[in-house]
Amino acid sequence: MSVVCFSLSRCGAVALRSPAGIVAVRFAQTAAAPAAEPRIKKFQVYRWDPDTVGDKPRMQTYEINLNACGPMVLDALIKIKNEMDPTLTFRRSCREGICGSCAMNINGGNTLACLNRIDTNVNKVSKIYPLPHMYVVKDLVPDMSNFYAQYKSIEPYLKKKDESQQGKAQYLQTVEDRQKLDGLYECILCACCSTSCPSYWWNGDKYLGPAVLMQAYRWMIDSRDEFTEERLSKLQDPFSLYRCHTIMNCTKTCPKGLNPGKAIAEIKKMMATYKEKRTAAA
Amino acid sequence: MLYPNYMSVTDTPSLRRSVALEMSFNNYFRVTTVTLDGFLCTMAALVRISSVCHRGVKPLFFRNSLLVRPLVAHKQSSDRPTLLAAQIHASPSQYAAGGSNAASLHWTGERIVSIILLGLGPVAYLYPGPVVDYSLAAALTLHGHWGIGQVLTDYVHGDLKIKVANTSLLFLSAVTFAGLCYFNYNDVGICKAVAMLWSL
Repeated sequence: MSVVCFSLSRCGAVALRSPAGIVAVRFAQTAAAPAAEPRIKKFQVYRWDPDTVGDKPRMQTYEINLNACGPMVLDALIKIKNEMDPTLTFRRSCREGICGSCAMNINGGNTLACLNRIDTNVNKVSKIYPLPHMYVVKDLVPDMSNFYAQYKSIEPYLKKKDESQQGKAQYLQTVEDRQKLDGLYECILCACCSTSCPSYWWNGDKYLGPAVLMQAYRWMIDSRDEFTEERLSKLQDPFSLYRCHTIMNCTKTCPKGLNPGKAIAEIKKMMATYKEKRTAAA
Repeated sequence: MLYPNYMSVTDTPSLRRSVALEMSFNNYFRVTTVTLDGFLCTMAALVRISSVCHRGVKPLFFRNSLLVRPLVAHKQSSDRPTLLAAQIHASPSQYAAGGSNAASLHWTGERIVSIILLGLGPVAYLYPGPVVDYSLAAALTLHGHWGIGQVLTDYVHGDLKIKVANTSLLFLSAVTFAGLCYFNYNDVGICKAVAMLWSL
């Protein structure tokens, strides 16, 4: 009994003591922060409000103390929206580079705000624009409907000639065939690549753009898909595919480190040979 | 119209400037990418050499049909008074010719001419003569014609404008080819002329 009592009292003592210890540590951390010199960084953000009649696009400057802000550009934008200007409009969701919502043009390059570190050089102004050459809905929000419609047009799903077996068993794939999809399936359709492509700027209505073409390629080379030739022949016009001039802005800008430029080159090679495959098979 | 208040991002002067800068950079790139493309896809193009060689000058006709088809398709799509959103994302199959592989053949032709042109350089240096002269005249003209044609397709928008541009280009290429042939026939020829330039 005494042993139990002793241990209980010890536990109580520990339980009482430990929060005090944590509080002390917390004070030590927060106490150190004000001692550091505030690092004031300027952000210039593109602003345009469609609801204000006659409003013209302008750049608005915000000043942020980097000591009181997270490391990424998205953290800064959220801080601005929460603490400085609730009218600032932008898309964001996952804050970890998997949803593709916060794609924007930061310091001249298209990237995801959540994956882009704030340039800690406080003498330089960080400039934030919406994705280039897209219609703007408001502030940093571009209209993606054309992009999504183009994605829909390539039929980005498995297609079988014989659909009677659908849903009865898994379509198996060899390890090698599965590996062909690596570097393609990771695309999150943030449109950073397509909107960095000059060809897409000038012919975005008819040219599909790197993101969509890479997904077209992803379904062409899927060993389970049976519509490769049809998918290829859909690109038989001067615009859908052949507006690509291997400028490679797409690969340079991709925030996920993928290579749409290579995928398009592979499609071009397949386009040059696929008819022969069909006649050889017949 | 879906969003009547749309404003393009390029409305801000500073962005317009940066876009212009980037574009001039890309124009510089374009010169090299034509040859780079050739290198990248040499193998695919080589496969087609034999089948396209006996086409003769037919690729020229392909070129014309290529340029006309999308315009017709575009006209059809713009006739329909639909939503802006519905208008801009015309399905690619709308432009694709049914079963025709003209676009990919044209691409293959471009690669082959690029490779031939690369090979003709050393050949012209080692074995200068009338055969190489006329081959160079043809390959240079065709390469230039197709290259400028791509630039026109990129930048010239509008039914009438592209027709005028392509007709002018065809005229320019024809004159170039005729001029080079005239030079080969009546003067020293391309190989010798370049050699003389170097000896200056």
